[in-house]
Amino acid sequence: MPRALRTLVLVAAAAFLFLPFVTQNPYYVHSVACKVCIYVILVAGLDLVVGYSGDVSVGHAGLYAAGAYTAAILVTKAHWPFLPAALAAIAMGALFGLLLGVPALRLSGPYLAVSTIAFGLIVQTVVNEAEKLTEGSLGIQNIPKLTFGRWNFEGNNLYYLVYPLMLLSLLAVHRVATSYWGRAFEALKESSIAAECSGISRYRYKLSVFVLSAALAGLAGALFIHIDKYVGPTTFSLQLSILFLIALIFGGTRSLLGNVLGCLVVVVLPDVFNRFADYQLMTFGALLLFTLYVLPGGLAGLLRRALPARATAHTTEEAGPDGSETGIRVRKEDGADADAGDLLATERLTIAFGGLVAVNGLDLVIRRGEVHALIGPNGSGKSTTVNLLTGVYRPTSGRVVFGGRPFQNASPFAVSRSGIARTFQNVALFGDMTVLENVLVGLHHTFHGGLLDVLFRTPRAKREEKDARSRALSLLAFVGLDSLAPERARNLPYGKQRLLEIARALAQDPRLVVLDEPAAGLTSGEIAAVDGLIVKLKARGLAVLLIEHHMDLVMSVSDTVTVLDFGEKIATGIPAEIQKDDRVINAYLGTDAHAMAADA
Amino acid sequence: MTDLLQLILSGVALGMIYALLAFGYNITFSTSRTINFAQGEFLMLGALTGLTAAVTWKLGYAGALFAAAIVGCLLGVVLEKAAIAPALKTRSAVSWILATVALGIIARNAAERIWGTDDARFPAPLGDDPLTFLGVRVLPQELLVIGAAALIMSGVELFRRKSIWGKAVTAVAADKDAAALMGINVPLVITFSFVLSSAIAAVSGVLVAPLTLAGATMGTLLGTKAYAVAIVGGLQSGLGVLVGGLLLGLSEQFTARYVSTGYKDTPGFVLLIFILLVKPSGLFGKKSIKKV
Repeated sequence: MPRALRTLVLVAAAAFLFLPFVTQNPYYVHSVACKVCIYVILVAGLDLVVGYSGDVSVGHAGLYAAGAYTAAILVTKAHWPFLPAALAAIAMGALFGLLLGVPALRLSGPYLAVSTIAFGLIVQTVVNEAEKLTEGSLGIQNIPKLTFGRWNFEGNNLYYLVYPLMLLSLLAVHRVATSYWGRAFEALKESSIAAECSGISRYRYKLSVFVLSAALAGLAGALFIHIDKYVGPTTFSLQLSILFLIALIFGGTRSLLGNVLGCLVVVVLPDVFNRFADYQLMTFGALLLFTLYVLPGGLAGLLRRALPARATAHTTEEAGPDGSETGIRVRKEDGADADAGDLLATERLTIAFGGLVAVNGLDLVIRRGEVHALIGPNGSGKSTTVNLLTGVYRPTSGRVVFGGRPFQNASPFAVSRSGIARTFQNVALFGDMTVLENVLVGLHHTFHGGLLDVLFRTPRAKREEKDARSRALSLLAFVGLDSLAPERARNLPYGKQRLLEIARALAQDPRLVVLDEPAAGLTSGEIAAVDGLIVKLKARGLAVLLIEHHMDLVMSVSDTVTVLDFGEKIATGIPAEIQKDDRVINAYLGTDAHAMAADA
Repeated sequence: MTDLLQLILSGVALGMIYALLAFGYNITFSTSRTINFAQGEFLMLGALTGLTAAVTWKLGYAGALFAAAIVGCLLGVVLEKAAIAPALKTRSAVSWILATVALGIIARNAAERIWGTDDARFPAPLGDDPLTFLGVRVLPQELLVIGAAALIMSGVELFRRKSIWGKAVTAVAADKDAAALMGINVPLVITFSFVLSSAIAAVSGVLVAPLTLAGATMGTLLGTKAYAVAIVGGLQSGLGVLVGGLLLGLSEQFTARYVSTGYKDTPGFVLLIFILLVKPSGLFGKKSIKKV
């Protein structure tokens, strides 16, 4: 963010703190302004789930309810002071978020949306029925006064509590979103498989995004009970969840300003137009439809287009490449297995899809530092083998041993962490992220700072980010893409996208790089570049498994070639032997063609 | 024993309504991989249109069914054009989910403006006097619901399997690109699937209204439970939604009877979340292999 803009934002944020001096009307300050602030806290959290992680949650009213009721019960029945009650509400919200997040591990799109709706309705039902705790449909009244010692946050003074908390929440969301956490969320959104194969744990980050989002919803709930000094079940309806989504989408996702504008609109609009109450849902529905198809990006998107100057200014002021020339680091092998035995061996590896045995009893051995090509006609099981090696598929029988250790139900994330990185036959980049960010996702494993480092932007977090950026630039220089660092990945030409995938794979410090048809669709000049790249990788001690149809490339760079046909290994050896092998020639050309060739 | 039979029968009648709505999700999901999150509201609009036709215009129950079907068809076209088609172009799941949700709340608000916010009684065509079989008292409307729902579902299945139009729908469901290459007008088939699905929802409204009440709020919960049914049964399986519907109808009746009426709406959602965790493709769904 340019310094001038940052100053402007800070001044504007500070100025609003004095709102109660402008108007003392309790309706505007206590009811409207406080409500906007509380909604912003919740919607900023919802943005993490919807905007950054790409999941639709129609159940956030349930999380809001969890926070509100926890706080209300603790302050009225257990007579807790505000602060511990609010902390408990945040914790309870986070716990409910964990429950809501579990389905998100396995589901997406409509399935997840339906389960979040179900979640919201269950919470509302429970709140209504568990009368001993929640007073049922009557709701909890007589919420005590909100004071800290001499400080009194009643009436308009509530604003002095909720407004700073809103700013803090926005700051927290901003910091998480711009850190490696935010990149992990986005990578999982754009291509879950590619993100996992780049070393990001889907399990960890999908649950985290829901927990973080829910913690903010819990905080919002704890504050909400002090507006009306009352909490009842009718507030937390499906419609409220939808209203939060409308505020988010209309304001514009992935924008703090958008979060604020959206909440202003949904709170203030019904107040401004008195007669509008009867048509409120209709208007909001129309607003949502309009935004989705006419104004994607919402109000914030509109403003961003009006102010194009700031664009991607921050990416040009990067630190330069680091001293290590290529940015490639080969992972040191740990423990006793170093240098002993083969790098990777599969033992009778087999996978069947229904009746089709795609890979059958494959014994494949990759030695340390060799370039090993896997070839075979279309449908011979090459890509399936890659998917088995990288944990995308689970074998029906047999196993993979890497660096002397067998993989047991290893996820793609665990495989990446143990030192196998891959590219994809059908390029799987994170299209909306920049070229630099794609490589940074591959460098995810270099970040060791936790959430607190991110939230407080500690020296460690700053240093890790700076180091990763400079290494990413080195890697981009290595594949020849450094000049394109700020470009969006989807705008790259096809050949350069393939190179970017290789850079992202190298970022993972692999011991074995699996290249799935890296030359497919490339021009001859680009193929020569890939050839050169593979030679350089080998020179640095990396082992490469190359799946490829371009025989010139295969024969020139490979130490060993393995040939598959109908899921079985038919030959393995040095390139010269393979070229003369009868079974290989038959597999590629058919028996008759071979006979004809022999006759000629 | 008669108590039990009574519960089962009401459960089946309720379950058939869920199954019908879920069947509508099944139809659109198969052609376009999308479902209508306003399906419950379309049911409600069908019921209220039917009420106007039957009571105000005195067209009788058949007239109510017909009027609801027409309105359902129109709603289907509007929904597909306004909410689904633009999202299919941009391939954004977030857009179509939210767009159909938006149409749902618009529909609900419109209904409140047109028919008011009070619930109204919908006269049952076969009367409100229960029949007695083997000591079990049955409302004639419950039998009508079971019969009509079975008729509609088997009719659509027959259409899908036997007629050339139905085969076009099945072809689009199997592979859009291949179907387009064979000269099938894919966008038209998708629009048609939404018309069919919405008409079924609207007609279900007229079927269920005499058992409940007709009003602007009647659809939301029914529609939401039907998502649960569709997913529990497997979004791609016709048999699955039937079994899922019956399972939910029965479990709700039993919960209301033996646990508490307050919790009667929860078993569906609990069942849903459980199934999603254990077998996300649904009871009758086939697991799909992700191509990388």
